[in-house]
Amino acid sequence: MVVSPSPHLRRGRDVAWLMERVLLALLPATFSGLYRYGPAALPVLLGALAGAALGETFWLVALSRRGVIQDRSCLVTGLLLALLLPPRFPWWMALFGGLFATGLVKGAFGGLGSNFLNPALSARALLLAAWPVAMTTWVVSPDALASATPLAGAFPKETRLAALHLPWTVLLRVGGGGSLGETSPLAVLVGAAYLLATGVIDFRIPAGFLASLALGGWFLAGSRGLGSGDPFFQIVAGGALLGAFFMATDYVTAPVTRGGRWIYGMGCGVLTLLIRLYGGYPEGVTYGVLLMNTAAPLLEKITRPRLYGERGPFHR
Amino acid sequence: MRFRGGVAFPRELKPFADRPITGLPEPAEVLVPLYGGPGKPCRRLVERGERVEEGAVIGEGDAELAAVHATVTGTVTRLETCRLPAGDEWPAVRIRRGESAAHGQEGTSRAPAATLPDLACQMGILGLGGAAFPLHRKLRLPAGAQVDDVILNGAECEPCLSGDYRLLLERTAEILAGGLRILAHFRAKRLWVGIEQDRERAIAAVRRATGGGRRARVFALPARYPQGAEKQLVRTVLGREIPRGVYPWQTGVSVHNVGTALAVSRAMAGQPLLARVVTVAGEAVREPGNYLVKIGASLAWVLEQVGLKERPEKLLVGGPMMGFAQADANVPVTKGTTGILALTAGEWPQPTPCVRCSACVEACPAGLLPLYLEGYTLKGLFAQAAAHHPGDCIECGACSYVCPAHRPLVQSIRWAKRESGRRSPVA
Repeated sequence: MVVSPSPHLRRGRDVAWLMERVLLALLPATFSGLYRYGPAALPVLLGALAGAALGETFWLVALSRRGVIQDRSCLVTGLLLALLLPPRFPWWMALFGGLFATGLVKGAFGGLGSNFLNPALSARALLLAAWPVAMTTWVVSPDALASATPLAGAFPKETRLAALHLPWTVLLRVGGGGSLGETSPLAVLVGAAYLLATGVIDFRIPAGFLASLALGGWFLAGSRGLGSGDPFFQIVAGGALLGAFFMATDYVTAPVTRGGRWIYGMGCGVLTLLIRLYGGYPEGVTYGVLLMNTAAPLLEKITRPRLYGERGPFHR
Repeated sequence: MRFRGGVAFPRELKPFADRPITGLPEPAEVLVPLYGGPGKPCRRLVERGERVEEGAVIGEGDAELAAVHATVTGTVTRLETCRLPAGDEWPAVRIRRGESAAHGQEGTSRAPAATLPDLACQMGILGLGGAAFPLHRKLRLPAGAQVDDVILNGAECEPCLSGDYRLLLERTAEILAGGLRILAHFRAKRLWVGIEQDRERAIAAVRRATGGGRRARVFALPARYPQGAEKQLVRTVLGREIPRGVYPWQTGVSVHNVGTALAVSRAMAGQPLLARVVTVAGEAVREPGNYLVKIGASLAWVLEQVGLKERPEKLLVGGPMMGFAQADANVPVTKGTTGILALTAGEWPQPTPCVRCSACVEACPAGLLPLYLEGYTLKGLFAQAAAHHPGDCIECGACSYVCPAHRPLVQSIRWAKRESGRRSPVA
């Protein structure tokens, strides 16, 4: 008979199950992007996925680790990266990004669970530095064009965020154009609801993220002085929803404590807004989340849960 | 108070609650460990070849240890060393069942105990929730100590077990009588009976029996594991935590399993503790249910009585969360045996890397960071692990249960505990 230490019972979830939930939750946004841009968006999607899978496989073979590819985490990375890229982005650049994400950011630091930066966001940051023009060549969504200013085919994203003063109700449905995964905030929300309902992600990070972003947007981003901004515009425009629900909630790079998650989420929102409003980059989510990634270990340290029976500020 | 952390098990992990307690026949042979409490064995009072009556004292009780009784009438055939379910080796007395020397006379007459602790010691009462700590030691308090609340623990300590529930249904009055006796002993103010919310019938039964009385009240507990753990129970019922490093009685509360209360009630009627309710379950068992089993009956004999469908891959004493896996079935049922589980699948899957999903942090009722404890321990960084308070772990197993990477978290924390005891801990 088998002799092993307790417990002898386990919940049926494993890491592959979790990763599959995330992949499922990304499907609405993916299909929305593919529907909007058609087959032209396939190269970037497949390029990023292939790059991420290759980077992962390299390390698995090099370290003779088997079975870990079955956890699907590299597919999540690849898909997330694709959704962060412009739809007509060259496939080989996407492939390079995928390789960088899993091969260097994740694999070189010890693989699954050991990277301190979000691989997909790091890859996006790298691509933005390497090919800034390609990274900001957006395809404007026809719906958005129809309901707003008739701007020509491609234009920088900052112009879009600043000039496309669409009401947020319209943006929620059609998105502001932009990256492959930003075509429909509604589709992102459907996936997010699924992840929250299945308990795969915790509400604290996205809640802190979006609340601080909305509050900050209302306070700072208005054209008629402080407190005149549209809080919902900051949330539905650009990659904020994708970032809040799918990037900032990345297990590996987010704090594990509840208090840490609130601070982390709010930090992401504040940094995103500051970069959007006052920074030189078209979108702030990437650097906002990456910066907070580096703060995660510290946040865990200062938000250690109170032990049972330990006197603390809330001790009765 | 809201339950902190823990896990909610699916309903199918609480089966066999509808099976009434069934007495198993007298075993032909028992192996009674001379176990009266932790630390050292009881002093043996019988020799090989001696005839003993059921209920005769064979191990002497003292200030620290409860007495041990012969659980069948017969002859002492061997004095041996047995293995207890938790793995310790312990002196034990093997008794082969035989004819009684004097028919109709039950047990040996003994001087009636003056106080409840003396009675508990004489009647061999250990805590029946699983820990098997001598009741008389919990009842004796230093001068000046005052207990105001007595809590009867009717929250099944583990999933798959239903002995406490059946006792609450079938022996309601006796349990309350035992509880009130403990209450009287402490001159305490309130008697609580904690029962998990989803055990509606038991709650109703106890409510009926108390008749809305003010001295005993039912507390419907959240159906979350580990609600049956002492500290967690106190927190839920009384809304306060027992400070670290302090005994419950120091905060004016005393917690006892409902089975222990029943044993008190029976001891008041002159009956020593000779048998206990054991939930026998698991996929390999033909007739799972709740059985009244004599202390000292071997696991193998119990499984034979209830029937096995197939050879078990894993045999547990206790529940699936904190139970002990047995190497072989020739281990006696003890006063701490809450359940016997014969499982057909025993292998734990290979661990994969921790993804820091925080499920263990959310599940920990003690407020620990199990992933940190494990990470440091497996790297041999015991000083860092000690700084994460491994000693506060109650080993409920909730973290390992929820871990999607199948990390052996509890096992690592046990290691950290041992190592931090060995080295000087970091303040």
